[in-house]
Amino acid sequence: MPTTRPSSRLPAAAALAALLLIAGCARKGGCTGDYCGTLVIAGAGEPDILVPPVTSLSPSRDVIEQLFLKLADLGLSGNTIGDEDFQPLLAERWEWDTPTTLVFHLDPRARWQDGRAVTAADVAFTYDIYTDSLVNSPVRPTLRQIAAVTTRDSLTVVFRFRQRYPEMFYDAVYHMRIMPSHLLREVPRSQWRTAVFGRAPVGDGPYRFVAWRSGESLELAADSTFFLGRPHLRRLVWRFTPDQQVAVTQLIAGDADAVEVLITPDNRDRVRADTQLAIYPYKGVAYGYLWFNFAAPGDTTQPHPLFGDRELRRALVMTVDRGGLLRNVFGDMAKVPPGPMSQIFSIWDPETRELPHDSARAARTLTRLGWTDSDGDGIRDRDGHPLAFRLLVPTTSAPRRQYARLLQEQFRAMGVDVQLDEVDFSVFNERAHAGRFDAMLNTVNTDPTPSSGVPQSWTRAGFGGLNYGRYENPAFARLVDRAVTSVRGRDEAKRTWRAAIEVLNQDAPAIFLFATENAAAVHRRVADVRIRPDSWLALVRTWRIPADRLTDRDRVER
Amino acid sequence: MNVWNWLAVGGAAVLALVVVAEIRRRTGARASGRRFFRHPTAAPAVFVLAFFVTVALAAPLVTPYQPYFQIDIARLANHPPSTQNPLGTDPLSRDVWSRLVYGARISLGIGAIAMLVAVTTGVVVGGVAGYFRRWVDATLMRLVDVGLAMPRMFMLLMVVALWEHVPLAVLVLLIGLTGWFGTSRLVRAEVLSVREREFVAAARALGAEPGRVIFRHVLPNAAAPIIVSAALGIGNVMLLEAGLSFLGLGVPSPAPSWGNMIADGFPKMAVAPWCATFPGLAISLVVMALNAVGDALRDALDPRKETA
Amino acid sequence: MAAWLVRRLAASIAIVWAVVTLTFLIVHLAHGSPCGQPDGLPVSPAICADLTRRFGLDKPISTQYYKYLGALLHGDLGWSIALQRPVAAALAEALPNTFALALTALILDFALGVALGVYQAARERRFGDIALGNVALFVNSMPTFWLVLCPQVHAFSCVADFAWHLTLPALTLGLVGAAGTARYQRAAMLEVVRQDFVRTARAKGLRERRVLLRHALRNALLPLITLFGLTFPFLLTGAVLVETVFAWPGMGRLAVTAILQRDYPIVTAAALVASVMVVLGNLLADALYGVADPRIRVRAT
Repeated sequence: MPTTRPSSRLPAAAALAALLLIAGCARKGGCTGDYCGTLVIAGAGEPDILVPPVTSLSPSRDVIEQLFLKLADLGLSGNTIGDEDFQPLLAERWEWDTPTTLVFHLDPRARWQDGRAVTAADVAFTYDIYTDSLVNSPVRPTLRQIAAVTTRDSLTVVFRFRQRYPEMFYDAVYHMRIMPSHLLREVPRSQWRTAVFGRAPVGDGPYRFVAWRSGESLELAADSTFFLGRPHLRRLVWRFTPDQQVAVTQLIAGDADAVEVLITPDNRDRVRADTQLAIYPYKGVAYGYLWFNFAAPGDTTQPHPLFGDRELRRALVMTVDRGGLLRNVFGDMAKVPPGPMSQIFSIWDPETRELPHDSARAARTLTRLGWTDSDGDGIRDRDGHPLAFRLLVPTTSAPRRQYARLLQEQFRAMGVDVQLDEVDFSVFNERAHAGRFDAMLNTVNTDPTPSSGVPQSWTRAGFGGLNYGRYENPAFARLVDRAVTSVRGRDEAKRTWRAAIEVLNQDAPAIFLFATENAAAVHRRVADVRIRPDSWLALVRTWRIPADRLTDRDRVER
Repeated sequence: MNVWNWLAVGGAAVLALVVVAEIRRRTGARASGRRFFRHPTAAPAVFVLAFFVTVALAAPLVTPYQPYFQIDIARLANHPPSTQNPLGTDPLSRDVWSRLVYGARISLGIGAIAMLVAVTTGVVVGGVAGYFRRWVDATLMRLVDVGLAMPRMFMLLMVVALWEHVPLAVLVLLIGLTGWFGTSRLVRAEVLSVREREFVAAARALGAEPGRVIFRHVLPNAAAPIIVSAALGIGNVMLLEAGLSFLGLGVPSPAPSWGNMIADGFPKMAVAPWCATFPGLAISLVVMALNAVGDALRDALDPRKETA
Repeated sequence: MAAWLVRRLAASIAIVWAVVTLTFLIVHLAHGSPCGQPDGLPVSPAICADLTRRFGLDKPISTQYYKYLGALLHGDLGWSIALQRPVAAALAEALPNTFALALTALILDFALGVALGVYQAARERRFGDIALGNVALFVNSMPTFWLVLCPQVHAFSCVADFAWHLTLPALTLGLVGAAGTARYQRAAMLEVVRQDFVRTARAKGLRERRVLLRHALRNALLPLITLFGLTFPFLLTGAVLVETVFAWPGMGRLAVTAILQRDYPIVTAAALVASVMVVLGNLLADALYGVADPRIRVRAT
């Protein structure tokens, strides 16, 4: 029969193709010794672009961390005050000429991966890029206290500050990764977000870029000539998974060696049951909250019809049983934050005054405000308008989706109708930034210190920036400013912070739901695993796989 | 779940049995009815459908909770099946059985309505195209070509994802209006081949009106594939709804549909498999029953069998 | 035949054009702005304006449409907003993956489906028919993605795993497809078997096997060809859920991601590719129709 003829050739062709593919990839190599390891990192999310000034996505950060160096970096103590606890990287040493003049001496051994030396001009160029309004780097506001960066000679660079404050050294080194000016000078400032460089970067770090397959994986290889010591792990491979659940599944299946966060007790239990895997707990840098929009959706000139009312917001906050929600979603792997803070903050203070969970009082408040269920449909209304709002949630976050459903039911029980807008992460961000939402479930990955992030999210300084909810209270802003610039010691700063947070809590601009506790899982053959909470792979160049524990994955030659 | 709920479930089962028996008794006089029940799977399939419809209608009687009620989020989430929660609880500590029953209302409703829209459109277009042929056929079939050239899931996703807040009714209508292309082709193919038979040619030669020829002579003879495709169609819609919900674009929370129940249970498959398993089983069972009924009807209604 | 081919080709181009236009309309009538960044960083108004200009979104929709069609005729599919690379490059990466998956699944689907259908028809009402019928029915009744919940999800990285990672999604698609194909095939066979010419063949004393395979099967393949025309494009682009669940980097997943991220250039291009595939599938199916049924070949000209 003529109809069967084509199909008899197809399986043969498919089989041949498959065989060729297998043969092309199954070459086993023979790497032996101390510098062979391969670490496959599985995780949800993919970098957007590998250009440090224009990204803040954590997958991008993890890769960039290996490609581009800072002048100096935070020590394991996490102390952001003064300069004693910082570790030299590109700068081999530094000194203070005056209390507001900081001089860095670059390490003469530092090289870009195309062979050029790293110079003071690169540092000045980098500062220029980070502070350019067209590039619009997310960390630009944190550099506002730096008045100028100038070069003294090819290896000496001078930072001048506008004023003296405790975290000035931290601000000088933590936010900026030095960029190669000879490769990037020609890129127009408005096009940094789409720069070709960002998909094939050339850096100065312990690893160099090898390949990036969209939607699949990204690979880096160790730079054996790295001036601060050859990394032990020869290859780093990121494998992008649809969600964290799949990442953990891959880890257990042996397809991956490391996962950044386990998130839920279920995952932790799954990993614990596997004797090949070790769990490394560390302080969480994320906190999540329901953010009320103070402005009308899509129109920042008008107040929000519901959330402009402070009493209403307070009633909504008191409606929610935050402890119950937390136990449901995170079990013991998170805490209810006493304000806008992650667990890594030194200002974390469980004594901070907050609004209680008190649904009876919330109900009384709502009734007093005129919100009663006059038509018996279970939803409160006033002047014919139901007490209803939409909650913006990113589909990519399983915990937040679960929170959204839990909140929906708690509000329904209070007679408040909540509809969910579950959208893709990029749409979520676009709408958040445009202010097109009533309320949103947001998560913030914080810096190690509150002094830059809190003003950006909760004061007027963040309008048009990261303060999507457009909350402002001058009293709060003044207290924050005092806390950040206080030179009267750490305890005084902490007290001022607490006072500020309490002012904010009374205004109820948001419902602070969770602050995560992190736990990474790494294969047991990897030794010397040290994790710095603010960036879990910051020290990966010192992780190693002893020669006697190498597997085929480590030995493979490419 | 209390005694009354169990009793109500038992009552629903008895009622479904009665329905099967009654249908059997009433159609027993006709040859087609006997042929229908000669299928070994026909009676069980009718029972399954009758049971789910009954239970869905009597939802408040057979369930202990409202479908969106969260019993105890801190202590009773992901609880395995027990006497209190016969199908367990989901990650939000909602009773899976209650959601399954209320979900039947939504899932079966969407399936039935969308299928009705789809099959009606498909039969009309296919019948007209196959009978008239020439430019009518060419035009309609090019339209169908365009429709078929747009993958259904893709098109629905596009509309639902890009246009914010698409109401459920519009979604159902869209599912229906994107589901008739295949049916119309099958119908047309069948009409084309039936049309060539002697009795249709004879009817035309006798000067019967086209509409009469189509509805009296051609369509009854093409009934078998229409019914098979309708049965598959309603199942397909239920599967499609499940798929849309799986991608987060189906029936919005907190309303339960079998599709979004699977979607919600999916991430918890490793720790609480019952959340996604039972709604999946329910879909499979109902779709299977629909397919079985379609098969049995196909044989029962085939007019050529009267003489055979 | 040549005239038929020319006419069909013209019609095919018209179909593709219609699909692209429809997609373009659906996409561009929706909300959207190119200023959403995947990482949620605020974009300065200057850059937003620049992006809007670069993607031509400040122009009226008709201008955008003509510009798009013009570029399309020159083979330019545009620039992906979310992926920050040419759309053509993204498609070139996804298409081979999808082809591999679709071909494997298609072979499994039709080989198994036709064989089962013929076998069942030959054993009508006997144990083999009923048992297989019920199994096929059950497989055909499950939500595809639910079917794969049980073997836990594995995504893949290196090409070394290619064959293995192809297995599960292809099996899933192929099996579910085969279950449906078998049902159609059985029904079609039984339909044909009752017709006069088969009875004649039997009456002539031909062996049952020859009657079934030679006379009945050939005629029973007709509805199957329609089914083929439907299945082919489904496998190429409609395998959305299977590709998503298995994280298979093919067209389906690319399209879904693009839709969810409102990456319009990719969405439109995916619709274009899908429609081209469907049109090709249809041409093939129609050609096969002609081969299988001489009555239709005569009419088709």
